[in-house]
Amino acid sequence: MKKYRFLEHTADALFEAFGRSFEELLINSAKAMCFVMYEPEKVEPKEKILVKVRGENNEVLLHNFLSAVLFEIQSREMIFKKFKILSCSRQYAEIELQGEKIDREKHELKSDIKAVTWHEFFVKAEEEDKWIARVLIDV
Amino acid sequence: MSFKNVSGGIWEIPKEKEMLVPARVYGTEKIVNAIEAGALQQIKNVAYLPGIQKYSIALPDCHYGYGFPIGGVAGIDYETGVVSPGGIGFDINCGVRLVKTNLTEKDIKPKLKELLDSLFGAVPAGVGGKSKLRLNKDELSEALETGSKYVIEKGFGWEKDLAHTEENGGMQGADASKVSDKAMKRGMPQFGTLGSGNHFLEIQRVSNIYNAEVAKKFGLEEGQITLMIHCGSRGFGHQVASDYLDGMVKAVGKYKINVPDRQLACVPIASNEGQDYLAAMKCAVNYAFCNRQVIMHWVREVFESVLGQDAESLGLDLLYDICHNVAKEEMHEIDGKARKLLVHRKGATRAMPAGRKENSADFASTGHPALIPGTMGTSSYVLVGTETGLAETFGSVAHGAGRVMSRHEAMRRKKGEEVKRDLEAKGELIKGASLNGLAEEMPEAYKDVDEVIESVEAAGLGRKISKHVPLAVMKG
Repeated sequence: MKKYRFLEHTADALFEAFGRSFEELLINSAKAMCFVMYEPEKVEPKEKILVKVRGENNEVLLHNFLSAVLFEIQSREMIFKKFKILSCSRQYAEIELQGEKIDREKHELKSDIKAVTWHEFFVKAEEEDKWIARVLIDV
Repeated sequence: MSFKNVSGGIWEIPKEKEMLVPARVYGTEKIVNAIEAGALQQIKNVAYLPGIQKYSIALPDCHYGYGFPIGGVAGIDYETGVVSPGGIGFDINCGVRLVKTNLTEKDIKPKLKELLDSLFGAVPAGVGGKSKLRLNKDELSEALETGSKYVIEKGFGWEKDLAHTEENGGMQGADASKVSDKAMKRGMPQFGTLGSGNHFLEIQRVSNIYNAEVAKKFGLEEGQITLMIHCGSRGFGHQVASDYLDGMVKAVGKYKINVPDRQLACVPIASNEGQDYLAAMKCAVNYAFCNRQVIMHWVREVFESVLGQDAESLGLDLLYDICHNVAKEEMHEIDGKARKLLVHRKGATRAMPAGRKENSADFASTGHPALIPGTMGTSSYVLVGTETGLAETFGSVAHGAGRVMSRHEAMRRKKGEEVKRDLEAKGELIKGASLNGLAEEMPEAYKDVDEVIESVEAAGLGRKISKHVPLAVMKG
């Protein structure tokens, strides 16, 4: 299964992410968002950061999770390669981010991002094992 | 889409469904016909906002955004209307600053590469660009509530820079207690950084003067070197906008406000949520003024060290610093009466004509300079506002060329190396924090800036004063 695909948008980065479960959708959405900022290959999982997020439903939970990853990247000046779900329900998730401090000599960095927008944002399960999310990132 | 031509470059989309006012689009026929369907829908969506006055406004650089279109303006009644963080954007007080010099191209040509390399060394840019200036939380809070004056007192610039900055570099009413801890943590490492995307630092030459009298008052002349800085409030402003927008997405139900896109979420200006957002937004506005002030100081230092003269004798005076993502409390005439509005400008530049109280003393007789950056391969412009602009767009003009091509499409067409080579073949120097970034920002990804400026003039919204062409560009 494809993890994500980018769609056309005049100014910003619009993507659809996919997953066989909501947990996988969370991970693939984070990977798509990070792909806008950097190439993940050379990032080593040296440090672990625990992120705890809440949301009143799946949609808000995914939105809050992506915003939390962006916050960790910019406040810690780190980038991440692996995302490990420690626990996840419809309204709460604990996710371990694995990565390292940004090294401009070593890492291939692309564009900074500003925020996860609500424009056309959705999460849905087309079938029990076929989840899809649409996310527009302001760059 | 049925546009009705009102006159010249002014077009109207009539009210439909639950639109409270019609929409107006400004531009030549070519510009108006090229506006994407998605952007047109967004222009109409803005007309749903409670309290909106006159029209939902789309300027000639208008393109598809999120919530509001980019290049959108909405004047909303302060007493009865709403504030919508999506109508300001995540990059609160993204803006432009233009610095004059008394240099000509001949003076700097032999040193141009050294200047560009030194700027790249002095001004952090791109993902993970580390600032040389780290404020602690208390210092940042003071900067947020004070604005540029705070960093000038720390030695980053000259006292006289303040009178040449919109709002004198500090918006009143900023309250750091309304800002989240997260915003502080994102903002601290990025204070004094350019960022990436379309943000840049540019060495330019004035190629044309269109209005000799006003240009003289501004201190601009043909052949003169000018410097342009384009950036905003970095992760700080982005987090402030996210925090309040997320809250308002939940609060729209409470106030029974019906908007067609969650990104337009809004609350009454008079509500606690609305007032708290405005107090936090003003902190982000002040962060961005400080950011551009600190960057300008480092630019002055680079010119001093490379050219071996002090910044004062090089004439590195600030012409003006202006926001293009902001909401401002302003008085405007509605049905013959003066009314207080909260004017949302998202990708729109304020252009107040002579006679408005917003103009500082140096610009009282001309109106302040409205700075419109172009692309890294075309031109930037200085304009002034007009009475027609005041009546039509609440004193607003375009904020740039406006994108027409997605970032993906741009990267499919050309690689960053190729974009750099093409521009260098034209005689420009380019240095970017990322090659992908150069490809995404290629001049072809934007509308023709000359056509955009022609549109502003055709609609009578502003008057051209000068045109500035790039000689060396540093991209974030």
